[in-house]
Amino acid sequence: MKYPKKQIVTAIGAALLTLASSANAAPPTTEELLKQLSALRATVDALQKQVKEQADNLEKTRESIPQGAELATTQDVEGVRSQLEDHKYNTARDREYKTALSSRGLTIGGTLTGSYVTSTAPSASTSNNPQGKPAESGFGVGATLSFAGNLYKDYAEGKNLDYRVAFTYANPKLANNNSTNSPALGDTVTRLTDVYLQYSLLQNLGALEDPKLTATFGQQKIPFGLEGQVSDELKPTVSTAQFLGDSNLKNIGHRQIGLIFRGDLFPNADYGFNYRAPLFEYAFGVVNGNGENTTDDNTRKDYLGRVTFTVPADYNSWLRELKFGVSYYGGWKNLNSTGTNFPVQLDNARTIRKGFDISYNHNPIGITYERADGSEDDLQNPGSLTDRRTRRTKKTGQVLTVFYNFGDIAQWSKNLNRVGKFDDFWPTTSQVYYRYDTWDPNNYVNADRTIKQTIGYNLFFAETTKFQIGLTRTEYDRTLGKANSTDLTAQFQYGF
Amino acid sequence: MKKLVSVIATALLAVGLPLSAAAEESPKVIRIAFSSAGVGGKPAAASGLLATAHQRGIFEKEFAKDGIKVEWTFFVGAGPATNEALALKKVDFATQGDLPLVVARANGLRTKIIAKDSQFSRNYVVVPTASPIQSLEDLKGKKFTVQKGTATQLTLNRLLTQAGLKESDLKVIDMVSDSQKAALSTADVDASLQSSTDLVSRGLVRRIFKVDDPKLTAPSQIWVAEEFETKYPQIVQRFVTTLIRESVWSVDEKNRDEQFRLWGKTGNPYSDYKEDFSGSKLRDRLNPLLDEYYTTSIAKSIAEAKQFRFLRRDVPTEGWIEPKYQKAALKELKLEGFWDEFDGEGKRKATASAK
Repeated sequence: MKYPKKQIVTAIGAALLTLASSANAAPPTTEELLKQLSALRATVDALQKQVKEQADNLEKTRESIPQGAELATTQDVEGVRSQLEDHKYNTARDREYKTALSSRGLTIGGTLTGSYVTSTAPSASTSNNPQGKPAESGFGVGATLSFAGNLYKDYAEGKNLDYRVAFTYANPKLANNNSTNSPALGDTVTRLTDVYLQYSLLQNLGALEDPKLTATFGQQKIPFGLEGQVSDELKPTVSTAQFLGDSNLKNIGHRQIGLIFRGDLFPNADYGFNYRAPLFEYAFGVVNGNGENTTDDNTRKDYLGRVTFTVPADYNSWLRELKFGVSYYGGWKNLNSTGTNFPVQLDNARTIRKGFDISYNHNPIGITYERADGSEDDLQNPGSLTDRRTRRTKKTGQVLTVFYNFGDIAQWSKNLNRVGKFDDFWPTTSQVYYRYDTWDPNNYVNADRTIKQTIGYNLFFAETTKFQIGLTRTEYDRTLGKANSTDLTAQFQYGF
Repeated sequence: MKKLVSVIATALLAVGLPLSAAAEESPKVIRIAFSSAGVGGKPAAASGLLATAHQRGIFEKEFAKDGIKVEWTFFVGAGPATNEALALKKVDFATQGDLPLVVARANGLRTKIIAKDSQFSRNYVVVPTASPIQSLEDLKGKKFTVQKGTATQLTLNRLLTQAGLKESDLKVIDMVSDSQKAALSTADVDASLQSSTDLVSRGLVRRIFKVDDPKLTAPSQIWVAEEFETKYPQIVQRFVTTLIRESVWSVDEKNRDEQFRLWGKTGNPYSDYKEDFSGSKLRDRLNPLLDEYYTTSIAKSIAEAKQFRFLRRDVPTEGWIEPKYQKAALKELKLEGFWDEFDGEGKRKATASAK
């Protein structure tokens, strides 16, 4: 039994009073005195026991405290409480006044690019370059900005609805893919690039072995070949292949507006390396066909599809990431004869694109090859007001790229660049590459090809920052009547 | 002309060979990886001999005299990330759990196991506080989060087998450690295997099962890349000798609190380690010996990895476990018999006289 301090004092006091009062009255008998002494001894024993228990408890508490640790006083605790309240107040205030808020989950990203381009190709005479020569050179800037996030999060099955909006800014010439626009001095171009909603149709809880299928509606890159859609993991060059140029196979070089399904089947999951490689990937969809930021220009839709096959292999196999792909894009276009009244109008001219590609992305080495064939209907006699006959032109572009990564080679590895760190450390990756790129605008005409060969070096020295430099030699077949040229492009790209 | 070429070639060989041989004697840098990172990606590890060695900077001191740098990496992606680093020749030494280790071996990655890092670890099956789950049997059909490809997944499968369940009876969701805690806090998953007390002390989860049977857990180990070992055996020996020397400090009960505080730099509370190691001798948990318990355990892990279909190939074990560096270190440091050996069941075999 435990005695509270107050009770014990009272008990002792009462006992002493009893002794004292009994001194004034009749003297107590020995028996009574012994009883009182016995009561006092019991009280003292209980007190001693209690003191011992408290000492033991104190010792246990001391043992549980780490060596060298200091005990906090009430004032210390009050101090911490006060700081915590300050912190809560500041957090609430900063959130209200100094934090960008959005109604849904949002990730803001973008890039800033500074570049320098010089070329031996004689440029046309302009007010800035009245002689038309010597070679054109100049600095350029560009920027992209993106907003992406989640509109509906399905915790149970991961069938999430996501969105993405992205813009690009560039000088007008670059923004229009080298079109012949003549912008006024100081003009800038800001364009929408990606605008889409994406829904995951299959369960997607992060399991490597689960197949995936998404539906994407809006303006987006199309799943054709490699060049038009891959990231710098497979495309080390600053420029893209010639066949994607505006005057070439432009349908596949532009974003399109439409609905596209993308998925994969039989993924090979190697959890020993956190590696996933689907045996088949597929994509199919329907799009307007006339590019981005514009309404449909004909009554028919274009259809596209792509299938890839990845050789089944574990991460440590030399066959890792050996992939074969075929792509198809079937479109329609309107044809009008020239002249004031346009009497010849056709809406069933075909635009067919077929592609084949191989990629071997086996860090640190990588090889990609892509061939894209296009066939295009055009009026045989566009100046005629009555001739409705068409002719089909066939075009072919091929591009081979070989690259080698060295340094930390962690740029594209979700394992190697996710490391514990205190500061903004990022593994550095260097990359050298060679590219051979040919474009034949008409397979029925001999000696009309353009061949570009590029050697370059890329340095990825922060999570989102890279420096790229490339030297390109362009050679034209004789029928094109152009002088061969050499270009040097250097650019820094900073991401945020 | 031919003669001149021959003379130049001979001269180059004469000059070049010793240079290249000298270059082979010691690397410029030793790259050591942990298959873990601290809370929120802090570059720190805990609960093993190598973690303490890192915190106390003993390898830096040992190799500084030769101008050899020591680089440490902490992979958030755990053992599978370490495997990728090994495949790309980006790591020389590492500590890893059993499942990623045997999967790597089956896939042709070459390592030599040179010491145990820790053993007899403890884990708990935890569920959100308000969950109706009371036992392992109740987990059937529930969402269980684990980082796939890690030793914890193998532990989970052993545990489920004991409870008469299979992994396919559960909805297993792959998440890294920090994500697991976040999902448990919001009850977006039904259960997980956790060793940390932080969610328990905040009242967010409760423990329903303690996993501390040596048959359910497996030791973690330290390996060296075989290519590095072939090239720099003397550096491997110095590495092991330094580690063993440091381990004497680690297992000294006087240093228990200080060591736990060092491990607390991971962001996990001191109390986690205090509780985890309560009732255990440091010398038993932090035991580097490649003893019978270790060899039995790794053989069992291989068999179980096959049984649970994490492996499709055989795992060649010949020459994999390399105790020679450890034996030489124990002899040099006069520490033979300092640590107890354990049998295949995880029971103490003999008590050394030097205790």
